[in-house]
Amino acid sequence: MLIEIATVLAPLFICAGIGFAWTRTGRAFDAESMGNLVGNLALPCLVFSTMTKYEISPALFAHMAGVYLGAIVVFAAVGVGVARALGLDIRVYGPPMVFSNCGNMGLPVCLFAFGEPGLAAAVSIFLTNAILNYTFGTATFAGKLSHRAVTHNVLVYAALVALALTALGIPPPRWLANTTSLMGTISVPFMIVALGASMARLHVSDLPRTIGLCLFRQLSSFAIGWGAASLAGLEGVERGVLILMCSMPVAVVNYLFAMRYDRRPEQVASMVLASTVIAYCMLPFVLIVALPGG
Amino acid sequence: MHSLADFAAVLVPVYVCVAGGFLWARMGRPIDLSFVATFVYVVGAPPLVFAALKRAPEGSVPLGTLAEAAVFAVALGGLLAALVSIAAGRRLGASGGALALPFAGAMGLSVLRDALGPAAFAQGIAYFAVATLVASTVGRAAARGRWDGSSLFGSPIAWGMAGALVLVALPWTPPKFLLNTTNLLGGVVVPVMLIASGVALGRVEGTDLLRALPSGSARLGIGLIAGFVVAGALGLDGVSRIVVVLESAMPIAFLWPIYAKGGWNEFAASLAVGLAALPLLVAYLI
Repeated sequence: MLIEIATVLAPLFICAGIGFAWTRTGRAFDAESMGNLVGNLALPCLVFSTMTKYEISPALFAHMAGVYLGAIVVFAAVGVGVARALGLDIRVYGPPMVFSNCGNMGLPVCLFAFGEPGLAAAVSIFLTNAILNYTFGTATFAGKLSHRAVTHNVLVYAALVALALTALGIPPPRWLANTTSLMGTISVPFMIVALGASMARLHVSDLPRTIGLCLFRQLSSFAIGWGAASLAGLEGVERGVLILMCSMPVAVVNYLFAMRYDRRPEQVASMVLASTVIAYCMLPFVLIVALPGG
Repeated sequence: MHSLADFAAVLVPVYVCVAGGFLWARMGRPIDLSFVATFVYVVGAPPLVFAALKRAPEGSVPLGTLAEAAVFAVALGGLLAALVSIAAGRRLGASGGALALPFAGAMGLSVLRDALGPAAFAQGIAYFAVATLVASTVGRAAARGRWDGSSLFGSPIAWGMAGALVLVALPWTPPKFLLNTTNLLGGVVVPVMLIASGVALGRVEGTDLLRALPSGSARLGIGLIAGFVVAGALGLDGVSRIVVVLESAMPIAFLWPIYAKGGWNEFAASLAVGLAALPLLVAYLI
């Protein structure tokens, strides 16, 4: 088990460490342009490639998304409750308490823990989280709701086409499978390196409260994920993937939204950084529960 | 290649990645090619070399022969490029180096993997490693026009690549986590460099591209001659011969315009010629 856990954690630490060191040594890291390129080209290819390769059926996709949606509702109830009890502004602390880093960190962790079948199972959770973060999360920061996160999102179309092909039992032609597989390989390493690079730029303010809040967030998310997997009767890879995805830290994108809408970005940055460090520290224990036999 | 579907499965990924970069540039979206190249060659290329060569079955990659072939092909390419440059009345450093160094880390590797599988890919990686080492030392000095120690040995790309080759040559079995990590990081090289070359192509105006076509065509001709001559001289056959000819015939090395701080028109023209010639090359060689 220890070797399995080390095999999962090592690529994460090494790749994030490279991004961290790259930025800390003063080298330029073009995160925005490369992030756009990865988000619009590579990630949709990864979603399509893994979903068609592992023939994720619409039923399994919907089931995983539905269970995660249920977990998100509980995250929201808990997060909003805690924020209210502590007298914190929901428009600042709400999205970071609810939406996790299912992309940069969640997809790689699932890939390393369960191989490509884990990545395929994680895609529906990743998409659910991303769509809700970009709609309701942004709406909380901005004060208005937009449908563009769904209608202008290449990822959604890539997933829909993959689901349609799988439902009809049509394998993609080899040229398409090769192309999406090639382009998709950029996503995971870039996302982890970019995560490390963002960590190098963030700073923690209001340390005791931030750490307390993030510790509570990470522990409660893990417990909610575990509970949701048991309630939904998930087993094997699906169970492990749900627990792992629920245990992810605050999504970095929330920091960008907080900056864009001027909602105390330094506080959100602190939560991103502190929750990521806590999530990394918790990961060996989460893996013991999530891996088969846990 | 047995059918059109086989052909498409090998070529379409290359064209789509380049087209993705081309459209990205034409849509006016920003991307810093110097950052991309440095990042990919420093962070991605050494792990790619390490993972591909350490994962290859023992004895399946004639590393020494391919290294020799890559050095000879670049040297012969340099000689031919010098002759072409002198004949064309151009400064040797500026055009000679560009025409000598092949872009071995993108199109050729993608074709080798999709057409011939991981063993051929690993051989292509061996060629790529040595070609990159030459480009980031001698090529860098030629591009800068300065032959001092800093220009020759100051690039982190050269040190990264040399380090990777030393680790490959040492008789040890790396742990699984290291192979997984290096394989993951190395995976970015081919697709990102294909997209980046598309961006470079998309940034060049049509008239500039046409003006640079002679240079682009010269790179293909020089590369093909160098590849065939070296493969013949070393008595290579089968996959090794395909690797040497294909990789030698690739467009101008992406690192050249980065080091020379110019020459993107020539790079783009050689890429356009290379893309046009790729189906013929694949049909002939494979």
